[in-house]
Amino acid sequence: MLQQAFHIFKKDSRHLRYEIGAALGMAILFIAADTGNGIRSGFSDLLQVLLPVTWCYLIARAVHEEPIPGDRQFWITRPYNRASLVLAKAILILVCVNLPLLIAQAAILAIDGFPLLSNLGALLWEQILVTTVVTLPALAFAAMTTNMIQFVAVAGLPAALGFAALTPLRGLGAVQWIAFSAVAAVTLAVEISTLWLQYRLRTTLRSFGLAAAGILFGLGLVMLGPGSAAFAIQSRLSGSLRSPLQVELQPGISPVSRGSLLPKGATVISLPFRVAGLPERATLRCEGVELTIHAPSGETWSGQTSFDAPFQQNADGCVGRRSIHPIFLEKNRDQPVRIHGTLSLTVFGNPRSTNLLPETPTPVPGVGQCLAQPRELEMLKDRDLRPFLCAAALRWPRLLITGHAVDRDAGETFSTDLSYSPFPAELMISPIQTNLGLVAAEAVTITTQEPLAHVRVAFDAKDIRLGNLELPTAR
Amino acid sequence: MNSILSTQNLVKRFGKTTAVNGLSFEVEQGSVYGLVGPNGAGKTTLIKLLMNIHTPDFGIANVLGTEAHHLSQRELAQIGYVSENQDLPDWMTVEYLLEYLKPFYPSWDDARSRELMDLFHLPAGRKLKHLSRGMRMKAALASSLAYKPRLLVLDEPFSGLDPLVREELIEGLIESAQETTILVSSHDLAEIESFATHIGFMDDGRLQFSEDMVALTQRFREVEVTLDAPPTLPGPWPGHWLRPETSAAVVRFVETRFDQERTFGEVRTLFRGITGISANPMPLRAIFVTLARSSRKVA
Repeated sequence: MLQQAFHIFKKDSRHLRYEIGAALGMAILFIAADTGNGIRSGFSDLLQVLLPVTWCYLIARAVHEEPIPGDRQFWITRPYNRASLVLAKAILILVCVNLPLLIAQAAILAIDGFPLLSNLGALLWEQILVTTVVTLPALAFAAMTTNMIQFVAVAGLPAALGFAALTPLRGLGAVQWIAFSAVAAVTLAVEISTLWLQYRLRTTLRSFGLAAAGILFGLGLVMLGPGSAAFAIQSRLSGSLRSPLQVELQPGISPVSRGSLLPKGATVISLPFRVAGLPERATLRCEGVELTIHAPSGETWSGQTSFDAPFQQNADGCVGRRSIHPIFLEKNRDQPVRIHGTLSLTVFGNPRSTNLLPETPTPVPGVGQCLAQPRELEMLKDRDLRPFLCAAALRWPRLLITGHAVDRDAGETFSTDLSYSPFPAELMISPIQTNLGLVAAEAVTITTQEPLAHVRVAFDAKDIRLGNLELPTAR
Repeated sequence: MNSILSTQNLVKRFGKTTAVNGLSFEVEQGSVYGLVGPNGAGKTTLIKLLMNIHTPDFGIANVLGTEAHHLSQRELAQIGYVSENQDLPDWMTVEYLLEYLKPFYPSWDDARSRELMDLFHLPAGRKLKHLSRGMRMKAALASSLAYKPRLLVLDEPFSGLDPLVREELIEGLIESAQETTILVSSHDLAEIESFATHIGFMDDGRLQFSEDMVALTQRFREVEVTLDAPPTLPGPWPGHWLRPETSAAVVRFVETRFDQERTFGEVRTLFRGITGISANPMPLRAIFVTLARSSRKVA
């Protein structure tokens, strides 16, 4: 079987030598364009789009060498072993996609000073992700089509839907990995089943049906799977606190609007929470809230915040925001309402600090490396602000990372890319993820805290006046 | 009979169209079986069912002792299949096509491969996409004969080819016929007649007959009966006498179960004033046309 697979692979390599050359050349260019500690050029961004497109094109061309649908192809009456045929295509993907990507990512990490040995697991996991999300779908769709036009037509829609699903997926914030993993598992199952149906039974209609069902199911998971459900799973997977937390909704806390006033017509309420029972030296991060408002008239309104919506984090609580139906707000602005629901929050602890060396990349345990940069920006020249940058390999760490002055705890905390995924890598072509912050200090210290528990705490507040929570809008 | 392929009550439908309708037949080992029939008769579908390109809706097809649906590498390594509609890997040169296919076949014979290249005057270094239709067909045939298959299945191999190319193809087939069983579907009855040992006539998804070529040509005769007066066709007209025609004092028809004594006896019973009876052998083409027209009339 292996002998025949290599024989077919040699034939494909011979015919597709220019396409393979282009893919390999692009991988080499990518190494040159993407090094520099995650400060990427526009060319690198372009290559991150072109590389997967080139891989899909190459895979489709290779599969269409022996198309599955149809009754005129020369190979179906020749003594091909179907398993050898799939294996031949898999070898081509391995040699022309996975191996060059692995080498390119390893080279970029090595050039930028990341140790390869400790990142080997992440590099290999990245190959599994690329295989599941890029190459196997391309292989499956190519196996259901006979030429490039059909392939683009058939694979284009799921690809577009995949991109469209990124927005709701990102809405899950640090727990988006749960929805991503569920969708990836469904995708993998559909891909393997489709390839089995095509290469074993050549039943293209059934494969299309299966692929369509898989796409709908995956989309449903992303669109309808609420952040609170994902956080509940995350909560079950995490450790627990010794003593339970208590959450109170306290309208007395002054709602602070971040940035400018809300646009005219927006009806947004602030949700100021005070959290009690935190362990000593622990830091709180509110993730999301589900709430129901009961008006005295019996009318109710329910909603939940997006899990990537910024909470204003305080030492003993947080302030969230939620847009609310304008008619409901208007009718109940001055009525005593009952608000109850669940606040999802993460408690971080075990702080570890690393002082950054001046203008030299400093390894930060659990992160990668951080660099306090010189004040080159014109806007920072007259201010006591120093930019600093942290770079991590193949995923942003599941740590709360704060850059601050040596003698102060408060500073800039990176929270946008935070993920609680237990896996060593996330899907990314460029292997280095960076975040840039500003700190009012000459010397920068990086403090990391690990998540101790993800908890969901119920709250119930009575006699609240929505008018007291309403945020001001532009006139 | 020692059959190399057979079908039992084979049915294949495409939507509302029944392409093959309860077809049963056998091909004897060592024979050259010509499958003839009008366009749309179901010949190509039957061949695709035998080659496991299509799956039957009902019935069984056996090829080399294996159910066609389960044809494996082992059986396919002993079968050659050439079709006018086959998509070949156009980017390959003739030489690379043969070189590429060689490892798939344990019985591949390099000497035979070279002989076929010479016999068919194939340009080794030319890509298949740059070859004429006839040359492509010859390249496909060479790639299917070089491993001396036990069974060679040809679907309309002569269609649209010039006489010289046909001659070369047939020459190649006749050379191989001694060690290979051949199933060939064709409209080109004159060519089939020159080397087929058995013949099957398909129409409307059914096999109208399947028999030895000699027996077939013996049982079909164009009978001419000369009478002493202008004739009227007697009734009832025997069902095995096809396409009756009358002109002046002559009646002509095609006898499909010719046996001189019996046929002439029946003629004498049905006609009065006979002055002469003759029975002339028919070429395959004439038999085919007679059968096709008769079946159309019935339909």
